[in-house]
Amino acid sequence: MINIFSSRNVGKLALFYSVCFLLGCSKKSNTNFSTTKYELDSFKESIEEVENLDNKIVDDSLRLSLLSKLSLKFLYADSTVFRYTNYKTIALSDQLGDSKILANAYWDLAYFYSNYSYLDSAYASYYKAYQNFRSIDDDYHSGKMMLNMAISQEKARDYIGSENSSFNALNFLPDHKIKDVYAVYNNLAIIYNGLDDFDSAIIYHKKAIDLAKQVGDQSLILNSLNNISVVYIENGFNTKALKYIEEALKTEDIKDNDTRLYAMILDNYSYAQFKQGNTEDFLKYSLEALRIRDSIGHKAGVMANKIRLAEYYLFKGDSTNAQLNLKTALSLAEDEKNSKYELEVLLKLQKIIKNQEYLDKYIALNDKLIREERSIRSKFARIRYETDAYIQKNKNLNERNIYLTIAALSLLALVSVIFFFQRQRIRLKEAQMQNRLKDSNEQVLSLLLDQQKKVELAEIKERQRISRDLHDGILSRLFGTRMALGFLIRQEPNSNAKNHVEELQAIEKDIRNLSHNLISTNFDSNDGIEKLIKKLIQDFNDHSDINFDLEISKEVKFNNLESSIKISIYYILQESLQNVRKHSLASYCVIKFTKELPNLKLIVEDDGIGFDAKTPKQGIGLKNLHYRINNFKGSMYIESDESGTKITYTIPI
Amino acid sequence: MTSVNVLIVEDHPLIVESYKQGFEIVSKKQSIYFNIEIAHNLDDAIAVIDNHSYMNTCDLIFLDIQLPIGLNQKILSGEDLGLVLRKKYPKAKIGVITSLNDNYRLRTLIKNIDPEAVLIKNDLTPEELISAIQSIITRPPYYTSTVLNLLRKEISKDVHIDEIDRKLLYELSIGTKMVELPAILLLSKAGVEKRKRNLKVLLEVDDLSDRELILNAKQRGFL
Repeated sequence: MINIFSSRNVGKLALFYSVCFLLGCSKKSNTNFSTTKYELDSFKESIEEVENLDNKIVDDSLRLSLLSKLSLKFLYADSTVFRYTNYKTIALSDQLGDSKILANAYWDLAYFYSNYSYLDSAYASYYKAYQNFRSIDDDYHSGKMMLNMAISQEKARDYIGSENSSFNALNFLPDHKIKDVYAVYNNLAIIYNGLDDFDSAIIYHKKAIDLAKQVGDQSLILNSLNNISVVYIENGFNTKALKYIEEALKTEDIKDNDTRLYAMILDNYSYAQFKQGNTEDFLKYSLEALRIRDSIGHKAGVMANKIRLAEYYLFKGDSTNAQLNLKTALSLAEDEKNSKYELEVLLKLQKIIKNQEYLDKYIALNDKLIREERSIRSKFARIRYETDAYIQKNKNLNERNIYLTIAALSLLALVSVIFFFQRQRIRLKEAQMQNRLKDSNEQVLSLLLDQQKKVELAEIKERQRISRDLHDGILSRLFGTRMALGFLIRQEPNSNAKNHVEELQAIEKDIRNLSHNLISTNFDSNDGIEKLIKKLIQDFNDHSDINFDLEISKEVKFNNLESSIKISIYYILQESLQNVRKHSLASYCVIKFTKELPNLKLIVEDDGIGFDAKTPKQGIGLKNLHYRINNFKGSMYIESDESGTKITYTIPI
Repeated sequence: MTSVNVLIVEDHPLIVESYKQGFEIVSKKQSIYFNIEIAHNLDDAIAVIDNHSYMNTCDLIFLDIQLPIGLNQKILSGEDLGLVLRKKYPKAKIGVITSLNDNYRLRTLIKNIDPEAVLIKNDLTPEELISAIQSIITRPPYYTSTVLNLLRKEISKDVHIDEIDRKLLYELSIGTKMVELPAILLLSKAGVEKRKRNLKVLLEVDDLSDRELILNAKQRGFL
């Protein structure tokens, strides 16, 4: 029973190494960075050389790439230089935030630890590598790291944790990476065996064998065949075990290709035969296996072999030989610090010799082992806990980030809405102001027109007064005087004063006509818009160097226009002339009013510098002009070049 | 020797003197005695008119149209006075003396008062005045040349327009605003516009403005 247990360990050990070798290979191909001018091979393995790198290569990323390669190179060589290089690689890649190189560096470190059986450190490093691969969404390598973690846990007999990690690894590993999936199944099978779940162990071993055959990898097939046979032997199904072992032994060149595995299979074969009661060939095969293991220095194998030999000798009643083998195994185990074999050997020796000393040793060692296992398990637990805490922290951070993002977005939306409404309000206000401006402009103009009317009315009244004065007063007095004179000179007919009296009569007539005309011209008067326009032109002429000229064609009758149009015309003219005065730098400007039924046309033409009419940075003035002209469905046409500007307003009347 | 009672309504003393001289000359020529009464303003004139015993013997009234306005609020001019006189004392002969020379006013004046003489001041000379006095006594009426010209035009006219049209033209000619016209003519605004349009068609005026209309009406003697 104990022998079987030990041989499982041997098989497991063999498997572990083969997996590690496999991982190392794939890692090499993965770290295929661009070539640098530094020849890796010529690089000397010394800390000083690595230290010098800092001065030689200033570029951080270039140096990091080189460091990463050196780290891998030294992994299989000098451990001190490796640790130093690896440390530098981790520090630099962490600083530069290069997750890929960082992950690879942790992988190197983890591999290094597991080579030296520092399971907890290996586990932690694999875990860090795993985290970094996760962060760059590298599922394949994440899975691989998870697998390595599972193997580390299995080695520390943390079966439950290892099972967990294995299934995690399966989730990450893509289906086509069969060798890695195979390794997971193999690990799971070993775990279930360790948990005494025989059926599950067999199922996974069979799955592993299927996969190995699928790939056609001879050594993987042999490994699995060996492993499954160990499980069968352990559970007493020696016939089934023999079936698998015989299948393995049929493989060609097995002896030359993997002697260690061959020795293992041979050992298992002989033991299974022996357990079935077929003791004839046992010694032959077992000693052959021992010889091979001795020659290749496979000490764990030698120990397992010797324990089984002792069992055989005991079975044959040769207790001396049994004791001899066990004692050799014990000293070997003590030398190798292989506690598991040491335990087994102590237990067996105690059974044979009944020596209290062996029992005490056994108990002490067993306690120590249990303590160690417990401590390493708690270490895994701690790493896991730290992991969980880290993930929880990340999750919390993520949640916080999400909340922050939501808050920021809603704040932004709120601000946008407020901004939008504010803008609408400003626009509304602007429109209101414009309307008010328009209204007040119109008020001013209508006041102007009113004023003009009043002035005219006063003028008319004044004319009427003068007319009446002339007519009723002066004319009557003149008439009376003339009549009196007439009667006076009547008595002297020869006097030529008569001519003067006739002249007086003519003067009377002139005054009467004058008086009459004073009022009768009034019927030609108007609302005063024409006068206002003339006055506007006069004002512009008086207050600028530009010569403004007004031409109003005969047909244009401002009187007949609606007052709103009058006001608009006045406003448009004022705005246009202001533009001419402010911007045109013209010396001459002509304003023409013509009538082309059904429109009134106003042309303002200057000889100034012109402006770009197509892409005008429309000022409020030009906008207002458009607004006004659109108000009564008129149109506005601008022609402008360096020699001047001509604006034609068409106003329907 | 016949005796004629004469009332002169005239505010200018100088003109009154001229009248007196005129009557004196006629008196000498035809041995008629003129008993002349003078009213210098409207109030005086109204007082005289109310004196029935005198007015029943009054044969001839010389009336100035343009007189300063007095206290009476109904009788504002010589024209109003003339209307009252014609109504109250139809037998009395009325001679109107005025400086008016526009056709419309003269026409309405003649039409309403129907005076025995219409003397336009500008036409008047001492000789004219003497002739007028002689004519009005013996064989009225007497019109000075301006009035005669008006009547001639009136008769020879081929276009006839009614009183309201004439008034409309007159008001336009003195510069009355369109907005004031409905109140003056007792018409709606649309009515005024319609009459104006009809007048333009009648007088063959194409122009939209009133100026052409007025000038045309003047030429045709409506104003």
